[in-house]
Amino acid sequence: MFETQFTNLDWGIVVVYLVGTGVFGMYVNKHVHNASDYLVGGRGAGTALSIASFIGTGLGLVTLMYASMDGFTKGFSYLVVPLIAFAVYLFLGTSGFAIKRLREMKLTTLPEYFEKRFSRRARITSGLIAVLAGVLNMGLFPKMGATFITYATGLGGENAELTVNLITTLLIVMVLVYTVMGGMVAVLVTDYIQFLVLSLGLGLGLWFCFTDLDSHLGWANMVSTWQETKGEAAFNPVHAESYGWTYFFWQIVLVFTAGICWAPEATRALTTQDSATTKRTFLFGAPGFFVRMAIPAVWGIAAYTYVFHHPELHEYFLGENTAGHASQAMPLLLGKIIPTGLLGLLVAGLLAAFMSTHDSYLLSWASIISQDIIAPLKGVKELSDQQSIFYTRVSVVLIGIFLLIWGIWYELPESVWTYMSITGMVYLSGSATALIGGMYWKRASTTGALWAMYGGLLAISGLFVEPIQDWYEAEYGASITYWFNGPSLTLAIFGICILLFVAGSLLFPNREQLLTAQENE
Amino acid sequence: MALATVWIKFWEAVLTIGFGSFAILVLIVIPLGARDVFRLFKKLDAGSSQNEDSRD
Repeated sequence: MFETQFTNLDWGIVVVYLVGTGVFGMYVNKHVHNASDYLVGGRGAGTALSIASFIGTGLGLVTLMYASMDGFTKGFSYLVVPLIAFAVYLFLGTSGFAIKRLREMKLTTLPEYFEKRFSRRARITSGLIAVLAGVLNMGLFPKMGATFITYATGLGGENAELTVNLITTLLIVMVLVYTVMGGMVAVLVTDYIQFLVLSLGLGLGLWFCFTDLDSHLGWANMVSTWQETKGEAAFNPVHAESYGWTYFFWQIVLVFTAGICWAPEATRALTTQDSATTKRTFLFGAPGFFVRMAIPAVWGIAAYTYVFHHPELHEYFLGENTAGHASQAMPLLLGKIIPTGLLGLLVAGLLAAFMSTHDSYLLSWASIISQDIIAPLKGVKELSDQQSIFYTRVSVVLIGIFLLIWGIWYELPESVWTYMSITGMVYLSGSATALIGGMYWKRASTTGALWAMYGGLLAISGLFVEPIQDWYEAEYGASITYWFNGPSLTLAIFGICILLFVAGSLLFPNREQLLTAQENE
Repeated sequence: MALATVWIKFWEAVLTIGFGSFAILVLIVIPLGARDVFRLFKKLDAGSSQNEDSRD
C-alpha cells in the first residue's frame, strides 16, 4: 500500500545533488569577507537573483506539505490563500509600501528599524518576540520535511514514526552544517540553483497530476470527484463548511503583514542593490508566491482524488483520522505517479527546497539574536565582524537543537498552515502595527510601539484554542468553534495591538515630540 | 449556472494565469540570475580588495 517507484537510482540522484549543492555552498564561502557579506550578501544581489532567492526562500518543502494538506482536506477552496499572496505581493511591488523605506534605511535586520524610529528597548523587544515567534513557527519544519522523504521514498507505513524522527535528525544536522559554513552568500547562490531545479520539479509534478488518467487524475476527474464528495464547499472558500469569511480576512492581514515584516522573506528587501530592485523583487516575485502554495494545493487535491479511486487506501486516508494522515497523502501520490529517475530528481529538488528555507530562516532568526539582542545588551552600537559571525553561528546551532527536540516531540496539528499562521501572528500583530504606524504616523511613540509588541504575545493563546473548544463542548455540550477559533482570536488580538499602539502613543508621546509641541505653542 | 460551476471556472482561470505567469518568470530569471551570481562574486571580491587598500 505504501510502496512507491523510488529506487536506488533515485537515491543516487538525491545524494549526488545534495553533496554537489553542499560543496558549492561551501565553495562560495571564499567570497565572504566580512559580516555584511555573511548576513546580507554585501547588499549585492541583482533583481533576477533576488527574485530567485525570494521565491527559493518561500518555496520550502514545508510550504509544499502544508499547502498540500489543506488541498487534501479543503479542496480547491484553499487556492484563495495563494491568490491573496499573489495580490498582496503585486500591491507591495507596485506601491513600494513600507518595503521601499526599509531598504532606503540600509538596515541589516528588521528590528534595527525599531531602534532608529523608536528606541533601543523597542529593538530588543522586537528582536526577542521575532525570535520566539519565528522559532516556534519553524518548529514543525523538520518533521514535515522528514514525513515527505519517508512517504515519497516508500519508507513509510502505518507505524513509521521512528523513521520520520531519524530522518528529521539527519536533515537538521545537514542544514546546520550548511548554514553555519556559508551565510547569506551561500543562501543567495544555492537559492538560485534550487529555484532552477524546483521550477522543473514543480512543473513535473503538476504535469503528472493533470495527465495521469490511468490513476484517475486529470482536471476533469479531480473536479468531479470533489464536487461529488464535498459539493460547493470544495470550491467556495467562504462557504459555511469551508474556511468562511473570518479566515479569509485573517489571511489577508497575515499575508500582508508577513510580506512587510516577516524576517526571512522581508530580509530580501534589505539585501538588494537599491530600493527600485526591492520593488521589482516583490512585483516579479508575486507569481512565485502564488505557485509556491497553488501547485502543492493541486497536488493535495489530486492526492484526495487518487485515494478516493483506490479503495485499499480508504480506511487509512478517509477513515477516522483523515486530517492526521493528510501530510502523508501528497508524498505518497508523487511516489506512485512519477516514474523512477524523475522521482529522484523531484525529491532532490524538494530536499533542496527544504535546505533553502531552513538556511534562510535560521540565518534570519540567528542574525536577529546577534544584531538586535546581543549587541544592544552588550551596549555596543554594532558587533565586530568576527563577533557578529560567531554569535550568529552559535545561535544557528542553538535554534537547531530546539528544532530537533520540538520536531521530534510535538505532534503535527490538524492544519499546519493554521499553526504557522497563529505563531506568526505572535510577532506580526504587534511589530507590523509598530512598523507601519512608525512609518506613516508622526505621533507614533516608543510606548505605543512597546505596548503593541507586548499585545502581540497574546496570540500565543491561539495555540490552545483546540483544547478549549474540546473542553467547552465536553462540559456544556455546545460547540463554540464558529466564533471562537484561531483566526477570530488572532484577528481580535491584532485589533487590540492597534488600540494599544494608538493609546500608548497618545498618552505617552516621546520627549522630542513633547518639545516640538511646546515650541509650536 | 450553479454557483459551484462559477467557482470551478474561476479557479481554472486563476490557475492558468498564475501558472502561466510563473512559467514566463522562470524563463527570464534563470539566465539573468546566473549573470547576477557572477556579478555578486565580483562585487564582493572588489569590496574586499578596496577595504584592504584603504587599510594600507
